[in-house]
Amino acid sequence: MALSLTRINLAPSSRALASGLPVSAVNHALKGIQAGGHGSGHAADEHGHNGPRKDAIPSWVARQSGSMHVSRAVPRSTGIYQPRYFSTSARSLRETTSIPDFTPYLAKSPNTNRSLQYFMVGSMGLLAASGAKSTVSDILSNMAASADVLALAKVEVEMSAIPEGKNLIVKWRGKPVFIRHRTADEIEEANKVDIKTLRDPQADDDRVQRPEWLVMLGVCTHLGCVPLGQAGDYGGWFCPCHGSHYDISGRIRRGPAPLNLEVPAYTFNDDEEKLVIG
Amino acid sequence: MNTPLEHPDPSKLPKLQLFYNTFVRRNSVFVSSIFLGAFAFSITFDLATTAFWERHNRGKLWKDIRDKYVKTGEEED
Repeated sequence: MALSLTRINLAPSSRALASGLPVSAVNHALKGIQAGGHGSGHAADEHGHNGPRKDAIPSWVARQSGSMHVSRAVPRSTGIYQPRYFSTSARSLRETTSIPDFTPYLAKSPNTNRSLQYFMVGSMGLLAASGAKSTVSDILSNMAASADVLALAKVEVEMSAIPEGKNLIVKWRGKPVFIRHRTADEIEEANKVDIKTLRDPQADDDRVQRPEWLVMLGVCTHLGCVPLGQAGDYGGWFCPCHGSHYDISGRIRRGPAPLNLEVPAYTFNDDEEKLVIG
Repeated sequence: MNTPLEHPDPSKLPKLQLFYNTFVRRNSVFVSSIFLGAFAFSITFDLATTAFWERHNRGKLWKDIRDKYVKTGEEED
């Protein structure tokens, strides 16, 4: 009896069964054959107990004829070790990562971290509040009058140009402004008045910044005429329209006007000896 | 819930713990100190940046060169 031995080499696959047969998801040809000739092998018997075991060498591998012919399916070895895919071996149980010791970095007490967190929150809040305040004030100052407009709205008067006892009338924002350099007698006279008897009680000190300089809007508080200087019964101003008399401090003494002459905002610039109205 | 705030030895309190005990324990103190600090910070920041600017531009500012152009006690207008 002649014996012929044929070897079928199967391509190496990723996984080998216990019997040594390679299994692979794509090895359909082998599956179909192993399923016992039921076709493609997708049927339920693939999972069931019908048919032959899949890991058994199928019967067609070794077939007998007149001259004995034996075929063996020999899987090619995939390496020295069979790959292992489950964590059941001692090798996979070995520790693969070493975790450093973090204890030197741990906070000594939980209060430290909490205090630091509140400190950072507070610092951020401080900066944010400061920035918000600057933003708001910048926006508001953007809406205010600009510096050139403010400069035009001011009038500068040389103080040395007005001798004692003289008036000067300047135009400021479309209105006349009276400036009087008062003498000592006039200051005394203005202070002597009993303010309780006045229609609009106001002390002379409240109307001037410096007693020798009297600055007022030259608009009669009655109907808006311009009073005349150094006229009237009280040595001050007299409105010719309806006969209002103002004294040397610009206070209403007689006539229809209800209020004293208005005092605008003004400052003294001593460096340049100027009076700045506005 | 709260960890004790009292330290066994108050003289050995860390600075952060001192900060916490002083400012954070009451929310009213915390918020108002933030606002006050923002106020102080903006003033100091403004002063510092202005001082730096004037130091950086010394000799070019109007207050530095004013004497060259304006003679005091002289009629200008």
